[in-house]
Amino acid sequence: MSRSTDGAALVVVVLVTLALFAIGHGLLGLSLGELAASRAAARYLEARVASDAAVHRVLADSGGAWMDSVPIGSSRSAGSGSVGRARGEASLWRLSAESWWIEGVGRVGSTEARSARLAWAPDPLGTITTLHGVLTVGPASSVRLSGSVDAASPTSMEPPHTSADCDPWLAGLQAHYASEPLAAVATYAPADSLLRLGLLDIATMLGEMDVHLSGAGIASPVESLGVCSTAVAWNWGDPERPWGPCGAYMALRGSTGSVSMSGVGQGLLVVDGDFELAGGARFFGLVLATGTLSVEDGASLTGMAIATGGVSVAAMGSVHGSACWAARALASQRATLGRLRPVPGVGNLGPI
Amino acid sequence: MGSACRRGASLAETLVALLVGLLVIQLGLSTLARLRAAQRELAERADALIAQRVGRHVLRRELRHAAAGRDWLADADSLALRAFRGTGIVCASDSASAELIVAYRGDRAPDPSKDSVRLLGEDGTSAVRALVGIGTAPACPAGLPGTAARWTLDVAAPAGAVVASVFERGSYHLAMSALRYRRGASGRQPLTPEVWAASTAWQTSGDRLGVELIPSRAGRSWRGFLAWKLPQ
Repeated sequence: MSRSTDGAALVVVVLVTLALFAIGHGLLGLSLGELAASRAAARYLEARVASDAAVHRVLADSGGAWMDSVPIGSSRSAGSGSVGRARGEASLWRLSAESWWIEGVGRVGSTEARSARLAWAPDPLGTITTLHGVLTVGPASSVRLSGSVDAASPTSMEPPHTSADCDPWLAGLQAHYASEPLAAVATYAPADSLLRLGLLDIATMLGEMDVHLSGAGIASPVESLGVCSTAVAWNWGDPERPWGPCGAYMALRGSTGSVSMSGVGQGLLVVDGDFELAGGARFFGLVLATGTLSVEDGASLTGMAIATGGVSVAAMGSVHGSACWAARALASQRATLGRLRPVPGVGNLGPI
Repeated sequence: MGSACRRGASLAETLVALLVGLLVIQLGLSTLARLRAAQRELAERADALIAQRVGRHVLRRELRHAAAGRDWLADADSLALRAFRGTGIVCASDSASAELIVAYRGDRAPDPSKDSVRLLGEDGTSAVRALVGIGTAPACPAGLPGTAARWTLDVAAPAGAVVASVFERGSYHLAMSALRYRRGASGRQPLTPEVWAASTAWQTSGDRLGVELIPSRAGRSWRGFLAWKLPQ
């Protein structure tokens, strides 16, 4: 009897141990599989965050003059960065004059994720050539032209400037105006007469400006130790001394009320109200005003203007239509109004 | 140490051996039973985790490329959406023949039998067209990323279209213990193991779409965010 049961416990223990080993091995495999899946999911999420971050970095950056040098259909690298252990890179493709494809690629090891957004940025040439007149007014607004409005040479640059100052746009503007001459006065196309610059309405434009002003003032260049003081509200650059410290400075100024300007200045002016060039004032660039534009005796505007409320040019006032100056004024604001921004309502594009 | 002293010892040894053997067998069997239960529970939890991970990944990925109201709509028992499968950058458009040349990338190739195309303009305006044919095309002149393809639409693309996204109509359902996808009017196919309780549901209140996944047996429930219901 004892001989028949000798070793039975050992056999049972060995069998149980084998069973336990098999079960343990299965559980370990299951856990390792889960761990691998979780790690892969985490890697993908990290890569996706890095790709999103790369895209948003481009959208948060200020623009630059390089934007005007990227031909339609061409691409440009927009830098890289890290989010934790993930590496993100962004690239830009210019799809049309004003629309851009921004793509971010995030990588963690061999895991890769991509994000893309449709972005918009105003194109100086495209924007200016949508205007049919030196002065563009709203529907049914008043137009009083007692002085001169010269629309004959929109691509010329008067001394001390030269045609080189209009270089990036000169050929395009000449080709455009050869087939479609510029009128002195045209009517603003949108039926709602809301002042817009592509996707930017006037509230957005004013909200993104650093320097605001109001009332009357004398624009003149302000320099400090040989450097142009761009934060001074009535420093609107120095168009008559392009070699000076403020010669290359194109001001961006906004106002939520009417403005009367004396002195001399250049740049892009956005006025939610009336804009008056007082006697002797000289402005070079582009004016966007929701009210009336008045050019008084002895004053001059060189460039183009949109005035939803109408225009008034006094007998001794003058307007020299210059698409070059208008394009310069727009192009110089790449860091603010001209930067890339996501097209509203589109969101992430994909899958890609 | 005589035979008289050893008399009866083998019986005692046998009884002890039997008792020890029975004890070992009892312990072994109960351990096996517990391990089997633990193994089953672990497998169920693993299934629940897989279902949760797959469900979250699939839904977040689908909604990531879509805009609330325009591309997806959620109600109490389903999420109806345009399921985007790829995106092309428009290289050229011919309004006379309703053809587009695109540089296309995506999860799969476009299929005219089930796909439509959403066209985006520079200002974000969108238009939808049926995809009626596909073909090969010379490489996009601009060297845009993707494979050049020629798409024929039912109606010409609007002027100024810059991006074309391929989508199919579908709906996701939390039904019969799993996440299920229905393309068009076909049946609902399970995408996850069938592990969820009947109380698993979409969370559609407020300004966000979420989901609460409640395992029918093992594991804890998971409530997560999927997408904003506000316009982008």
